[in-house]
Amino acid sequence: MTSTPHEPEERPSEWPSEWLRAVLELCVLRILADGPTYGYEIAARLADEGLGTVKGGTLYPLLTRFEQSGRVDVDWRPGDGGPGRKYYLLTDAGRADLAARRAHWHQFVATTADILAPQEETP
Amino acid sequence: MTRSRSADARPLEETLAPHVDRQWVGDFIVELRLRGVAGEDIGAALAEVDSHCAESGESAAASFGEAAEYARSMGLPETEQQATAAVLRRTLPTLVQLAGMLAVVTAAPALAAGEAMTVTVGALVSAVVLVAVILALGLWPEKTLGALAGPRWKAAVIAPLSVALIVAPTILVRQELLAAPAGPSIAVGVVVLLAGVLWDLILVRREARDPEQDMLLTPWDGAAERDRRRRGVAWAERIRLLMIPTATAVMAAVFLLFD
Repeated sequence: MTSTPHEPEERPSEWPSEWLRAVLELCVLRILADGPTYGYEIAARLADEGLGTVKGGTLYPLLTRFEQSGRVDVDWRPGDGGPGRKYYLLTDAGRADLAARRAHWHQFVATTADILAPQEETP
Repeated sequence: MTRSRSADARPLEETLAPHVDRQWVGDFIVELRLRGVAGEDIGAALAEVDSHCAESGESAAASFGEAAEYARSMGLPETEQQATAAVLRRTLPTLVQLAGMLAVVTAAPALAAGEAMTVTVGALVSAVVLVAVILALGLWPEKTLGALAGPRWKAAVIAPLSVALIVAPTILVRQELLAAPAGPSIAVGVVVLLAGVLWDLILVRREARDPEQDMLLTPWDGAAERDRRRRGVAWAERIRLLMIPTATAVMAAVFLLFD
């Protein structure tokens, strides 16, 4: 995890679940944009990035929805020594969905940030 | 993928997902089977749970929560097998067999007593209720069989109640509907029963040759495992096919020998 200057000193280990629900799909799409990967690694990356523990019971149904809607392709690959893994590959449709929703999300964040800006002292 | 011979002796749950608690796997399979989800979809979902549990070292219950609830949350599609037409096609031969069985077991005691066979209004109502129950089990397994799952007392109450519901009309309404000579009735019953078995056998064989036959398999199961599972299914089908004829023969023998 890389630390950037604008980050708060200490990140909470748990975010409110309704915030996570809003942003989880988008974050998973973004991770998939880095290349084919599998469920456990996605969960580990989300945790590393500071989003906290995302349960399998939340993550896999989401990945199944991606698969059913054609935003990912899947590829079963045998594991070395361990059990095999189901890799998810972002499709063009998935990439387009990510681009559109990312832009939308940034607008939303900017809007809420404006609302939440500390009150300026009026001259 | 090859599997060792010793692996073949393991229970199905363990073969499908060795890193997951057996009870959890069983609950997961039952929930999805009741919802008419294809075997390969179930196997794929289990393989992923197994992979996650192996890598995280967590139990399935900790990562995925309750098995049936997780199964429902996956939103997996129902197979064509569960379409009304397909269910009716599968169930009709059984109903024909049952009709033959009812004729034989109604006529057998009459033959033993040297009387004509009588069919009461109650017996006919019972037969209709039985057909309705069988069709409901086939068409809406989740609402019917699923109701039996969960706490044991539910099955302990519902199962005998259903049997009582089927049998009660026969006992309560004894008004005679029709009479027929016992001997020919048995003969007709046997012919109908055998015709139902033959029809069923034809369907089973056609299904067994279908390369798309629905079977519980993981993405790692190769041709050998598929063949093994297919043979298992074929055996189970053979036993199922023998059930109604055997029950009929036993009941008829009891009536004829001990009446």
